[in-house]
Amino acid sequence: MTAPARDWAVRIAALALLLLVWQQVAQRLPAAILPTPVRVGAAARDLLTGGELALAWGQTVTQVAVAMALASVAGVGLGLLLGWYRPLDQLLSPLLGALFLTPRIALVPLIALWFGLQDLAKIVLILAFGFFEVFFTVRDGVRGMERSYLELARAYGVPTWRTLRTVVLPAARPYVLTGLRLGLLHALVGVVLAGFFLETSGIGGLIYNLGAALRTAELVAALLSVMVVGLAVNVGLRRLEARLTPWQVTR
Amino acid sequence: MTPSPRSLAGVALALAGWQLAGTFRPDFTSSPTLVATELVRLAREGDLLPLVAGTVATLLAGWTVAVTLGTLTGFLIGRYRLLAVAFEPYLVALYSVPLIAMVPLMVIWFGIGEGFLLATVVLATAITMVFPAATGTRESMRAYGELARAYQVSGHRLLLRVVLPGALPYVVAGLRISVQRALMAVVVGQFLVGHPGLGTLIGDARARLDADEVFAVALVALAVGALLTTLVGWAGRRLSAWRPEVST
Amino acid sequence: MTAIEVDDVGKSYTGKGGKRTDALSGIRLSVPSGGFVSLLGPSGCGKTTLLKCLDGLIPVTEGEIRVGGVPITGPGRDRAFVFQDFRLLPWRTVLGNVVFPLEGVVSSRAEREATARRYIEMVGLSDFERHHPHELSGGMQQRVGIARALAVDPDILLMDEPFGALDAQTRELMQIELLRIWELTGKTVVFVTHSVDEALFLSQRVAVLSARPGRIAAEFEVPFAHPRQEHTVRGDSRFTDLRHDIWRLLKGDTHAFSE
Repeated sequence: MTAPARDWAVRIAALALLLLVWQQVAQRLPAAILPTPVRVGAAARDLLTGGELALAWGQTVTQVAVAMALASVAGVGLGLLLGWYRPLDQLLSPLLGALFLTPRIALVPLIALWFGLQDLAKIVLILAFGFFEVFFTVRDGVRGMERSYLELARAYGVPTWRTLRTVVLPAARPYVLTGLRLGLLHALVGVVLAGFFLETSGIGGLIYNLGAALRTAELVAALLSVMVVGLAVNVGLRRLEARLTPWQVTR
Repeated sequence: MTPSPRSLAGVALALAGWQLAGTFRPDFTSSPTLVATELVRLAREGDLLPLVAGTVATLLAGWTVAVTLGTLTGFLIGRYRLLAVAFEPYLVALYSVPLIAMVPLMVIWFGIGEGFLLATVVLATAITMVFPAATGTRESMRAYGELARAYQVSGHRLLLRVVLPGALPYVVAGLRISVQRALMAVVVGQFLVGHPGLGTLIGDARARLDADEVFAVALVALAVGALLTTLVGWAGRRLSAWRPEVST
Repeated sequence: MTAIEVDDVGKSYTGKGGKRTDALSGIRLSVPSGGFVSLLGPSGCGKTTLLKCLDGLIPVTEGEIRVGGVPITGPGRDRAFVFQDFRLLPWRTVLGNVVFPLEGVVSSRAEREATARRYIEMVGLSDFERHHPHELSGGMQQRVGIARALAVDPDILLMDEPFGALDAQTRELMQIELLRIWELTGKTVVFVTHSVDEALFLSQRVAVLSARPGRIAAEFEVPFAHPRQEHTVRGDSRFTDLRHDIWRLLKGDTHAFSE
């Protein structure tokens, strides 16, 4: 057998083993504690056909789209600005750093105080999760390239505004893409917590309700849907990064 | 590192702006002086310090288990290709998802006591150590594996004297991220089931929506987060002082 | 005609706690127009610093550097810098990299590209103008770096260990290539290296720098006529003698030489 074929055989065997162990353990436990894979499959079908999953994800996707749009504009803009212009970075970094070190969950009361519990509040919470990854990745990227590329531009007498456009922006592109991917993955944490601690809606709200109702099979199915989305985001955006910036090794 | 004058100016400006905002809408923005008063009140009347200390204790216990488990897993998939082929896709999947979503399932499995909190921390945190440890192990083997073979170093000596020290900088880089995740996990757990601690302080603030309390609690959370990150960063630098920092 | 005059130049840095470090001290050097002069010295002797001062990337703290009789204040289009790490913009093609310094200077795009193509052809990369740097070998990447420098049509090429990152064979090929281009274009070249052989093979004059603070320890005239043939130069007894003399000078100073 060739190496890739053997690898696939190992992967399939591992999957079979995991499912078998799950099935065996679950059969000996009450379904409310651990449902069998077969039950979870049935529950997933019910959630899909009943429209519950589509409704929850629909609410969530809109909020994520708005939050990430804001996070990219703010994160990329501030990242470029602070990475490029050191005095401003020194002025603002302690505040942004402090906000970053605060567990974002501690902002929930503040967000509730200022924005209530509905869509706007949820968007702000998701934004709080997504923003920092974008911002820090872009800022550190711009800062890191400063010495070498900027020296090149200076040696060839390229004026500042043109350097910004032809050197800094393109050089920042891989960091922007990486930052957006990491930001989106973090935003998913915000999504879940928004459903738990703000208005109980969206996929986070669905998970909360299913857990509270001890509908364990559906709960596991909903969790699997989050897993699929997270994985798709990560893998898909990594591919996109590789295509758009072939010279850059992605993190 | 000493803070630059500009950084201090930034903080001073922010505090002044906050104080000014507080004179117009204290119900909305509170102010540094009001928050300071509130912090004193929380420390005197509430159980601020014991609650925070208890939270940190739980966090550290769970974090220790999570780091051990995650690092070990990472080492195994880094060292043995077969294990990586079989299980790495699932680990990548776990890394890509908000594991905090599993908390309701954790409640079903572990109830709402201390065991639940520990399990939540371990579940949410262990995965952050897997890939740093795996990368470190692979890099270490790649860099020094041949050296070790040339000098016939093998078995536990290879592991303890070559692979682990070589992997250490990567593991250290993972520690800071993991301790932040652990803090998030313990707080979410407490918040969700009402187990007394920093999470319930946040929960109370969220229920009452008193601006002074909201900001005071956020500041306490900031202090805990900053303290943990600084301590772990400092310990990490001590542990791997012989090598420059790596980013993962 | 003198292209560059370095007049008693010194460069010092003030480090942490106000500690002053002299990187260069009392440097006097004159480079004739169309000449090829190498700056040779151990790592840390300040030869790269001196080259960056010549470009105006780093301001000097003492003395003055004149190019064509005029004191320099910063980088100018009469000089072009070739970096040791190539420093190509990875998101641009070969053509895009060579065009880079012409943007905003030459307004017509067609003209910019025609100029760039001329130099890409000169360095032998015409078949690769649509490639990205990561698709090229190190030697090819530095050819792009040289084409980019030539594209601004400078009087002076400032080359900072341009072949230092290349393997030995590629390095020798690039040396021959560089001599060909120099003979073809008649540019003035200041070439930084820590290889005695490279300096002797390429240049008309070798200025040897000593370390901390960097001073010019001695200058050697290299008598071989151009165009040079590699085997005749390296086999010549005068080459061996010069090599021996420079080594003796350097050994008194440091052991940090690669060859």
